Amino acid sequence: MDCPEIFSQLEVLHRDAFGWAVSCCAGDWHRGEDVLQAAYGKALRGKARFDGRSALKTWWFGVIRLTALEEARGIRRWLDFLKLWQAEPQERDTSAQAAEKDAKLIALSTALLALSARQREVLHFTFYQRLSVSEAAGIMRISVGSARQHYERGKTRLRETLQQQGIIHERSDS
Amino acid sequence: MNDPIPDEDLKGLFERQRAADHERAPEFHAMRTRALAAQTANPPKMPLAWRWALPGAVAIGLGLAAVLSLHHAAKSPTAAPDTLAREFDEIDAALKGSLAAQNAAAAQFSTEPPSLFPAWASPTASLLDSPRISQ
Repeated sequence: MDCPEIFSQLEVLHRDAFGWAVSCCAGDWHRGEDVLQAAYGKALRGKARFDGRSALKTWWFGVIRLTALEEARGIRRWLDFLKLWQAEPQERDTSAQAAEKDAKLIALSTALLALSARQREVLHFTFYQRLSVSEAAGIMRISVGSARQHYERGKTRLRETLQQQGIIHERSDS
Repeated sequence: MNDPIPDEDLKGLFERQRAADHERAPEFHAMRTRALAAQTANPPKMPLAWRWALPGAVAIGLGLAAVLSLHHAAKSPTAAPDTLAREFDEIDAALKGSLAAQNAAAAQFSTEPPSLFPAWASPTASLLDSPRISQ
């Protein structure tokens, strides 16, 4: 598949890809945008090539995830440098904070940050991206059993946190 | 394996988040144009292996050249070739002069005075003479 063809398909995935990039950056819209921009750059330069071994969405989300990890490493190094000089990093501008101070979204964003990265990822894929757990496992490169475990634990913990805050109510079937 | 039972509360919250993110999402074409512009501004870099191999090879070459030149300098004398040839000639001439003087002295002392006595001979020396048959 050549570059223009891939980009025409990436355009269809663009909004979901942005949501995934934001999620990879702990809800930070600006960083999410930077990550997605860098991922597009990789695809243009041929640094990230789609070989057709997996679905395009699986490949593209994997590229975004890797790019976010690379950026996070850079930021961590920068923060370490700042700590060295006794400076404090600026407060993060999360998507929830920017979303007109929606209390429920702020609570969701905060509760998600309390989860492990794996739990956060699998919940994002299943609830936000509407993928199955096995599809999420494919993107996360873990077994379906492991993904399911992260899903169950993450969901339980997220529910508990949100219930404590009164965002959601206790389920009648649980 | 069946997928887990959907959680409507969480689903609703994530949908809300999704809508907010989609509203905020930058334009695809703008991002693509920026990526293209960045690519034009920064042409692709050399592959990582070459980025290390090339300076490495240059460094090794320089090191070898330095070692070889040092080795060569240690082996060869520091003086210029003309000076060495001149010194060699001078030494040679001095040696030749010294030998000639020695030879002259030896020749002078080798002229002994004539002896009053016949030269000494072994008493059995006559036995070594070849027999002569008288006719």
